[in-house]
Order: sequence, then structure tokens, then C-alpha cells
Amino acid sequence: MKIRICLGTCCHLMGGADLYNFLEEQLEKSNRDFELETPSCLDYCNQADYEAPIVEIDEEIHDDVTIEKLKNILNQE
Amino acid sequence: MGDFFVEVDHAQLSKHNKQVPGDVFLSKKADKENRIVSVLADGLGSGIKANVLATLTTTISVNLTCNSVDIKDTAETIMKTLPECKERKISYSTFTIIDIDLRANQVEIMEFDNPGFMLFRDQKRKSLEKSKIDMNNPIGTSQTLYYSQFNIELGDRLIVFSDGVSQAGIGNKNYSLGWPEEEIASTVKERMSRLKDASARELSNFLVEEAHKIDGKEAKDDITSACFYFRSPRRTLLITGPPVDKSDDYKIKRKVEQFGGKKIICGGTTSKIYARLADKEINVNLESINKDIPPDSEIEGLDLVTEGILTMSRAIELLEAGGPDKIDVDDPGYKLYNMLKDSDYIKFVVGTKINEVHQNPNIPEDLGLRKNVVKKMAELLRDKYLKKVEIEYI
Repeated sequence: MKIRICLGTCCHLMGGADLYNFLEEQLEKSNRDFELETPSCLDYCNQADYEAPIVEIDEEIHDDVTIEKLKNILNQE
Repeated sequence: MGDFFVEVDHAQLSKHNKQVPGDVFLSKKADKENRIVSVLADGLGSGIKANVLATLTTTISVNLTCNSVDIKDTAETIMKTLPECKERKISYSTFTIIDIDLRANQVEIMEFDNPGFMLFRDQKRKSLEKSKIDMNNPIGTSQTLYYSQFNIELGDRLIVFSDGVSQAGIGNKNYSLGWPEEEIASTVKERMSRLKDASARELSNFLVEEAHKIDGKEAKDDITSACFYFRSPRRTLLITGPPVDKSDDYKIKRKVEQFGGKKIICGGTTSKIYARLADKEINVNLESINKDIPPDSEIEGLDLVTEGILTMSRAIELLEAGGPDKIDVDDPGYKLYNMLKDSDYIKFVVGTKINEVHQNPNIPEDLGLRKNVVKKMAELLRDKYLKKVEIEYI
């Protein structure tokens, strides 16, 4: 699984760093094989349909992501 | 200004348990930045009284010399007008006046009772001949002052310090007479050979720290050191924000390529434009992730790559405060602050495209317009840190 967390100004302000810290913890704890990337900006936040923070999981975009939401997405995968 | 820049900085520690130092260092630029006049004064005694005495001496002598009064006449005015201690029959404040004339490439120094200055050239200490000048104080006691003059050479470092440095450790087993002059000089030389491009700030801090160590970390007197570094100007380019017109994106790459000096990009989109046009990779520095500021990145050919508004705002906070309370070397805002502080000339290239994201009402009001943030940063660098600043909008 490839996860990219946007750490641009907007996503960082809206909790991107918390998502990163959570995922890094998960990466250490779980045996799941996932690749974590933190691009400086994914360029979705300036599109009206998306709300920060943005996380891209296996090329699928998720917006307005919280830790709870992220847990649910990971459990479904 | 000549082909070199004069970096002036000083460091200071008050006598143990004293809040206010009795040493004062003051520096001022004059004649459209072609002259720098600095004075280090050590007021009699310690604490507030000494500070007032030293402040009087530095302020009067800096202002007189800046107003084109000859350095010897300034010293004479100070000696004649300011009284000596009635009980101890010694002058109320010692001083070193340094007058740097960049047009004439010349430095003049007047010394009264402070430890002698040290000039380092090509990593070696250079001795200069000093002329002795006797002057009478108001009650007719003759006092001896020393006048020196030298022509500046690129790379010269001039160091002055108070007796808190030369008398560090006095009475201790290994330093019964204080820190010997030759040892101070060799310690400074060794530091310079290790850190060839040591800034005035680094050297003055270093000397104060060493003296403090010799004093057993409890300063017996106020410890002050000032350093003047005559060097080539340090130039920095800071690009932030994409151009209004996408067809101007190439300008970012061209500006980076054509600039001689350090190069910084502040802004995720701006750094992506550069990386795309220059065909370089962006590597995010995960060590620098913290809650307040997005991490910085590395792009080959650039000295620093950070996020835009938040990081610049953090650097502004640090510039306003004069430094962080606690140093975090991974903090991108601190990295930016340090690079700006160590530059003499800063060129801002500001893309004026409005970032739609920042117009979102859900975003904290911290996100001022990029133009305003740059303006504030430039004003601080120019007015508080005496940097030469230029802003170009694209």
C-alpha cells in the first residue's frame, strides 16, 4: 500500500502532521507493508471539491481526513 | 562600500548574580554606510551604576565620531568632560573607540585602559605599532591612551574585549594572573583555523564562552567580546510564490541559475515549479516534521527549501525576538532565520499569484498575504539587522 500525506501549508495546518505521526506509529507497530510519502503539496487543496488535509492511498484521493477516518480507511483496505 | 562587507557582532555575559552588565558595546553606521563607529566601554564597578557610566561613554563617543569629530578629539572630550572616581582616583570608564572608514579602507582605534585589541590577518595575529597619547582628566591627572591605525585587508578580523576576558580565572591555580594575552590569541587562532569562515557572532560568542569556562562558569566580572570581520559580502536569494503568469515560471529557474550566493525557495508550489523545470528531485526532510511548521526539503542546487507563509512567519518571529528561547536545529523556521541572519545582502523574488487556498475562510488568519509577509521580513532585516535588501516581484 502506498500512502502519500500532503504536507503543504493548508494540509499541515489542518492536521497533516498529526496524520503523519499516527501513520509512522502504525508503520512501526503493524506488520502491514505500506510505503509512506510526504510530498510538499499534492495540489488538491486549491480545488473547490476537496478539503484539507488530503491523503492519497494507492492513487485514490481522500480529503478532510482525520485520524479516525484514516483508521477506518486502513481497516477497510 | 568597498569590495568587502564589515560584519560586526558582540557577545556578553554579566558578572555572576548581576542582572545588568557594566560593559557596553555600541555600534553605528554613518555616512551612507561608508563608516562604522563602535565603542566598547567598561564602567567603573558593576551593575546599574557601571552600566550608566559605560552607556554615557559609548553613546557620546559614537555620536561624536559619527559626526566627523576626529577620534582623538572624541577621546579627549570624553577624558576632559567626564569625571573620575573621587575615592579611587581612577577614570570612571575605560573605552576602545573604533572608527572604520570604508572609503579610505582604514581603521583608527583609540584605546584607554581596556585590554588591547587583536588583529588577525591570514590566520595569524598581526602586531601594530601604537602611539602613546597623554591626556589630562578634569582634575589634572595624566592618563595614557593609545592610538593605532591600519589599512583593511580582505579577511581581516579585529577582536576587542573587556577585562572580564583578560582577567578570567584570576586567582585560580592555573590562571593566577588571569587569561594571558598570548593564550587568548592562540585560542582565537585555533578556532579560526578550525572554522575558517567563522562569523563575527560565532567568534565573539566563542571567546565569551571560553572566558566563562575559565571563570568556572561563574563570571567574576562582566565578560564582553566584539568582533569585526572584513569579508566578501554574503549574498542570499529567497524566492517565494509562483509568478502571476504561468508562462513566467521559467524565471524561477533562471533566477536560481544566475544568482551567485546562497539560494532559498520558500513555498511548496514554487519549489515544485523549480524542481520540474530543473529536472531535480524533491526530498522531504522528515527529521523536521513538527506540529507548527511543515518540514523542509532538499533539492540539489538549493541551500534551503521550505514551505512558504508559515515558515517565513516563524522566521519573522525569531528575527523580532532576536532568536529562539530554545534552539531546535531541525526547525525549518530557525534554519531560515539563521541563513538570513548570516547574510549581508538578501534578494527577494516574490511571485504574486494569489494562492486560492489561503483565501479559504476555514484557514487560520496567520496566513497573511505573501506580499505582506515578505514586506515585514524585509523591513526587519533592513532596519533591525542592517542588511541590504532588495525585492523584485514576478
